[in-house]
Amino acid sequence: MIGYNTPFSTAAKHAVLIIGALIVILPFYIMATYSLKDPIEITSGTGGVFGKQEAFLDPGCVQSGNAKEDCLFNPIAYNYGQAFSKAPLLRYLFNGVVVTLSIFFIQVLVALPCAYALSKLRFWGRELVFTMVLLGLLIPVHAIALPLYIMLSKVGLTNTYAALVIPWTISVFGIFLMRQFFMTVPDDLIDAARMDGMSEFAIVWKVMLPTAIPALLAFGIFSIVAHWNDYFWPRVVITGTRELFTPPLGIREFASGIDGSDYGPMMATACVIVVPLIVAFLLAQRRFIQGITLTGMK
Amino acid sequence: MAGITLQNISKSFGATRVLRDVDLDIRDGEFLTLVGPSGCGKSTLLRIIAGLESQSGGHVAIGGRAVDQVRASERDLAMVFQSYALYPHLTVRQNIETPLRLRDLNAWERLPLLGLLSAGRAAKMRRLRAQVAETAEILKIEELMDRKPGQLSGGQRQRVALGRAMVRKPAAFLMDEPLSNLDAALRVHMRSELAELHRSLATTFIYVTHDQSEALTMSDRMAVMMGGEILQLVTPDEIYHDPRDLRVAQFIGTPQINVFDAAISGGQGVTVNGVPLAAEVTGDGDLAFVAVRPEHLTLLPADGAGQPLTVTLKENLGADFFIHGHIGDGAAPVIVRATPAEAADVAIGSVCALAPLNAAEVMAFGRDHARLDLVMTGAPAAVLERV
Amino acid sequence: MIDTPRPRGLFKTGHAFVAPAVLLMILILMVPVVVAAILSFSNYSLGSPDFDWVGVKNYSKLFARSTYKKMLTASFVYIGVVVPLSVFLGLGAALLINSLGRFGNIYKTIYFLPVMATLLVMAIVWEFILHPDVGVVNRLLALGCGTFAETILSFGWLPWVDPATTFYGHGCAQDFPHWLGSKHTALGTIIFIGVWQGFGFNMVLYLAGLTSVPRELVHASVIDGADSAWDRFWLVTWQMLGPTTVFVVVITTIRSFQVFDTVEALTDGGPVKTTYVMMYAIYEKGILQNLIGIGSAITIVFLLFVLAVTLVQRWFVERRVHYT
Repeated sequence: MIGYNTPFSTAAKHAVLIIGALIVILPFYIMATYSLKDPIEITSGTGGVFGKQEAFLDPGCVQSGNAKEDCLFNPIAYNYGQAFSKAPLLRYLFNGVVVTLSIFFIQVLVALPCAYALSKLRFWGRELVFTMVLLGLLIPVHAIALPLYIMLSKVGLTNTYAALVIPWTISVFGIFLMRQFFMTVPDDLIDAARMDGMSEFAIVWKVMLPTAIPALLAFGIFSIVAHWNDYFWPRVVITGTRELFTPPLGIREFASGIDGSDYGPMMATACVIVVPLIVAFLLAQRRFIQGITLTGMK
Repeated sequence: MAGITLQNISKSFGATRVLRDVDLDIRDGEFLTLVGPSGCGKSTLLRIIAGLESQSGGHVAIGGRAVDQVRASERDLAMVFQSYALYPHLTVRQNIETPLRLRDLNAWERLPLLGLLSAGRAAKMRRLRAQVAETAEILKIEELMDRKPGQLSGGQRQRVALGRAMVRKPAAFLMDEPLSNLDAALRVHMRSELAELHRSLATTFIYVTHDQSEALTMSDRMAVMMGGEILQLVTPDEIYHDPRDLRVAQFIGTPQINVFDAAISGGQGVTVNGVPLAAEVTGDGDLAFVAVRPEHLTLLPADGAGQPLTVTLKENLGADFFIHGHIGDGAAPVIVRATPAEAADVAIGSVCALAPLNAAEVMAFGRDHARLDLVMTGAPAAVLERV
Repeated sequence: MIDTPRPRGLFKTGHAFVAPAVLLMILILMVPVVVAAILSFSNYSLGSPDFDWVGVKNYSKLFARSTYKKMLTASFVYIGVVVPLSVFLGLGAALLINSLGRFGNIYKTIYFLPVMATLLVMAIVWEFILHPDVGVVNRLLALGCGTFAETILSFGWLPWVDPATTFYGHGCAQDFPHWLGSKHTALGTIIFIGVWQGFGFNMVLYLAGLTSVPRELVHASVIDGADSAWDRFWLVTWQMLGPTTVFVVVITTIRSFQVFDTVEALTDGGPVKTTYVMMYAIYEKGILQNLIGIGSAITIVFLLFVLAVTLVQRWFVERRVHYT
């Protein structure tokens, strides 16, 4: 009898939520549908959802002296073909994968032993280190991009993979999260491992790591999503060399040099960059929401 | 103050029937307890009376007024919850004040700041404060008034929850296992306080619990519920001494009542575990069980005239002993309440004799669990011989 | 417990385990703050060997020059609108979805999509949607011109309104806004994208918060006479969501301070610096124009703002200590 929905109130709630959903989904719809259409359909706003999929003539191709019949393209093939051929999109994607995975890998490598020591070992200065972690939580890395950039350029590291990765190698949030998690692991488990003759180093990787898998998975999703989508830091340290572009830098370059016929390929590029995470999200929704809202545990 | 009448109340959640055509007539000013194992539908019944849940069928009337379409807040009832459900962000005073504010002040007067502008609010607030102070005095919680629930002990929270219920002077109090979150000693103490409160307020109390001792000690009448039905509704005394259903007899009483297989042989004569009992069943009914309370069984020395009982466990409760054992080859477990003197000679593993049943103290039940009436015949006692 | 013999020296396993993290924390988080603080008192620039100490000149510029006044205005307007809107929409969506039960999940998925998607990419798509000529939005608006929709939306039916001066009437007669190109609408558009992207995150946090509102408390409020949904919300739900709200506001504020992608891709801080937010200013001054001194000063001010927000949060959390 409480919060009871009448058919009218239910319909009204759905109406509000549907209007919201349409606005939220609009850019995703535009991105997907325009990546399927030919330039004329895009500029004139015709072609429905999937476009008519008729072959169209690429004027640029004709101008460069090719025969007319060689310049007829299917819109989907053209858009996605151009996305990969006009710019080294595959290279960008590869860079993105390398950078996000290295960041995550190093973060875990640094954070896990530290979190273990902070939660389970006694040593002089432990409180001091934990205080540093708490202070670190106050500093958004983006905010100190300028001094970081100066320091990196002083040691000649700008325009390298290292520059993309280094500022993110330390995740104070990861340390904090793992420490909180390890606090809940019973000391008996560690003592049992010591009795079995494991070294402290082995305990971290063979005992603590497996128990921390759920937390680590959530942190992994958080980290990977954040760095795959990051645009600011790559923009700062990668100047010029396309070889090192991450996907967001790639599409930014594409968008800045755009003319009317390129909208299709640009939307195709956008799809290629955004879709992998969206698909992963749809497949493992609960884990993703858990991971992304991890910051809620602070 | 008002009586409450329930007619044919039924409730289903999907395909599950939680309540089956419950009829209940609660008298004005009585302390009525709904007792039963968890899942028997007692809480659902209480929430239907409160208006927190709507029944699938049947009618509720409070003080003669049908309230089926009446909102919870307008039924003039107060409720005390198991978790106390105090507003954690409000002080004790504000918690007790809340039902009065919501009822007596209109939406405009409840607005922060703006409400202060409305004429007549000050007078209303004065009246309201006086009522709160009066309640606090009765419950002796005056010194807690400016604390938040988080700073109170369980017993103190319990009092505040009572205060919030009392302050409105409702027609009836509904209580949903209000003592189950307290520790054992406090629970016993609060039992007497609640009974005292009921006497002084002289208002209807409807009390839900799974704890039979709470039901037995406080109620004017108690209803034993099982499987969505009320099996019996009488005074605690009657429930204990004259249960009309085997399930009631088994639910009420610690330790549990002893149940023996029984049958009718040779016309109306009753045999228990094959031993004849000097009693006959009157009326129809397919006799199947005979039940005896532990205090109505007597132990005799091993050479006494009775059925041999192998002792498996002796529980010392100080004033009494509970002797657990079984007759014959272990088919029928038996519990006997004995005085320390009687129990002194009984050793675990030894065999004693169980005195013959007194037909006046046994209860007979049919295969459908319904009580059957017994009349004594001939000799007052039968001897349970070796089977 | 058996005390296993271990080296008794000052240096223990624990030190070895925290050493890499401590080293990186110092190098990557602490030193840069100090570097920024020092350089903010200089006119340093990369590549030139000499520089001078200029005292607090960089800071005084920040609060005197109109460019930086515009920067602070843009940042605070952005935060001041994005935070309440995305918190409010997140809460509203969570409440609606929560009351719908299982059917609500589909909306939850949809509203969370922008949080997942690469903001820069989506910003570019928005730019295209809001394009004055080929964009869907203006094309849709133009569709209504000359029809009865124009009469209604331009409010020409109200006797005291001149349809040519209303948004829609003006749009039909001349043209509809160049959303990102006009100084009147650019910041609003950036704000819109910010809210679009962020409210789903808040919704998820509120949905988690809602599961912790005890049912008995809601029932108690019903018995006490909280008949309307509003009364129940105000007496119970909103109060129980207090800690969630503090957290959501802080997170959204800190994220809003850091807005950059949309501005860099869509407006470059323009037109006439109406979207010149702090992160973009740091990037433009410090990186593009190599004015490290002023860039560092903005960095320090930025960090102080973030610190202030966190301190306010701590204060709120402390105040609510007796809550549970």
